[in-house]
Amino acid sequence: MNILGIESSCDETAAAVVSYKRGRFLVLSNVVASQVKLHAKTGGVVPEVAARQHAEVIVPIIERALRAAKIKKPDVIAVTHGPGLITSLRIGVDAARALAAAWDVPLVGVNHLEGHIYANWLHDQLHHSYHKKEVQFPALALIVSGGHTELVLMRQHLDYKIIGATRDDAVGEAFDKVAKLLGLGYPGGPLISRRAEKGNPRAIDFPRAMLNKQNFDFSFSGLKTAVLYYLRDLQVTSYKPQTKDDVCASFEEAVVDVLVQKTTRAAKQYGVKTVMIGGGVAANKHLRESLGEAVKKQLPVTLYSLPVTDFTTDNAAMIAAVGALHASRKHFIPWQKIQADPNLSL
Amino acid sequence: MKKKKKSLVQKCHDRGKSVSGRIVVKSEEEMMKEAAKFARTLKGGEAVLLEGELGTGKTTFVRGLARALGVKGAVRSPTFTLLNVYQGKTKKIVHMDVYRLTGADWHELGIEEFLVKDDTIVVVEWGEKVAAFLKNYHRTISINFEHGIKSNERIIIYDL
Repeated sequence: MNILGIESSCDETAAAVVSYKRGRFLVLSNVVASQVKLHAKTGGVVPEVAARQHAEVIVPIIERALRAAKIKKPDVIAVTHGPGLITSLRIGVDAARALAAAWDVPLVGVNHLEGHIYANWLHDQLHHSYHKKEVQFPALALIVSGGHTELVLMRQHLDYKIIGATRDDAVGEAFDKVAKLLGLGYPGGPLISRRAEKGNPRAIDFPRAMLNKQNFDFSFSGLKTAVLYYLRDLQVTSYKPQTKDDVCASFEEAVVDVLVQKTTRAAKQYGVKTVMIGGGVAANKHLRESLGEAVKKQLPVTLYSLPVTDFTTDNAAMIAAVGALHASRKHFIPWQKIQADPNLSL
Repeated sequence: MKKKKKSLVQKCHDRGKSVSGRIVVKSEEEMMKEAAKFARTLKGGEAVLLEGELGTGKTTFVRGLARALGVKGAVRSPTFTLLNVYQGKTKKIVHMDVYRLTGADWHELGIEEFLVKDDTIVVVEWGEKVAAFLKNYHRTISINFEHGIKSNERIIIYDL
């Protein structure tokens, strides 16, 4: 079965073709057009520009994905129908609707968060020789991105239970806002990690919120404010490079510390066989390594799964993969009925 | 005889006058309580514009407001998704955060459908960016947030 995936929930317009055979996914094509550079210029998203940009590129991107996969028409279309920026989501949903009607191909709606989890199952031709161990259930997924921070327990495929989430800001949002406080630019994640490598993670003792609570919820709003107050108390107008590096390192350390501790604690409590990670912040090297070490040390029989870095940020291959599973369970939505839902829950 | 103390917001509301005032809150709980007091003055159809730097308590204020109107679930920062919609007991709360947005033509945004109902209260973080746009649709109320002198203090400035 060949699935065409379409994703346009935020900054990326993406299309991909994934083939699904005997329970395995193979990414035949994966095309992403990002607006990050465009938004870096203005320092933020311009919503009608975002929507217009998605509208302009979505057709050529779908064409490229089909051509690269050497197929004319897929067996199923899978589209992200939420959560996300409403105006952006609609472009993808409308394109999927039009193609489903024109081709008479069944359509499935995918939650963006499922996509980030299923990035862990993806192999592409480049990584074909890379033998990835199979994810075993029950599994725990830590989803960390600009808009999300969630711990999701999965007892089987497509079965999700959110056992913890942020109460205020998402991790990626905290990275972006701290980068802005330091005048580093947008998007903040990669810029902070780069500086963090040169800084001292123990220079400043930033708060680790919610660590003493027995639940699996997170809070990053206070950490952002702690960075703001630390910088304000320095009473200078510009920061020395060393100060910036130390703030970045100490901030990243505080974030990773909380994520790793809560994830390993949840993994133990639920006795999971796999710990996985997904979302844009899953590209953060320090988080990938620290969580890996913690799982190895504290949960030696648990598998630690990381998506290939290309599949951590928003892409349509992960949407197509989830779409394949929904299609095999006949979770089809008639093209007349599919709706973009900015608050769609898992 | 000593009268029961009314909140500043309630007083302004009773008089139907434009008055401004500052309130210093010393904790997250106090911020939530203040927001709840304010929420009780809302009838529906208002747009509340929250203005103030990072970390001055805007999202916490919205959480307090939403709780007071009967919202049970999570109230999080909508910085990335632009808007969250919560169902209260009798009213819908549209929680927007336009931090990431710049120079937009709001009429092309396609969000009007969320904004024009009498049973809806729109609360916008970084609301100054959309003030002109929302004025066409609603009675708008601006609230400013500032950092206090001590790190636990936040100042709420009403401009009613």
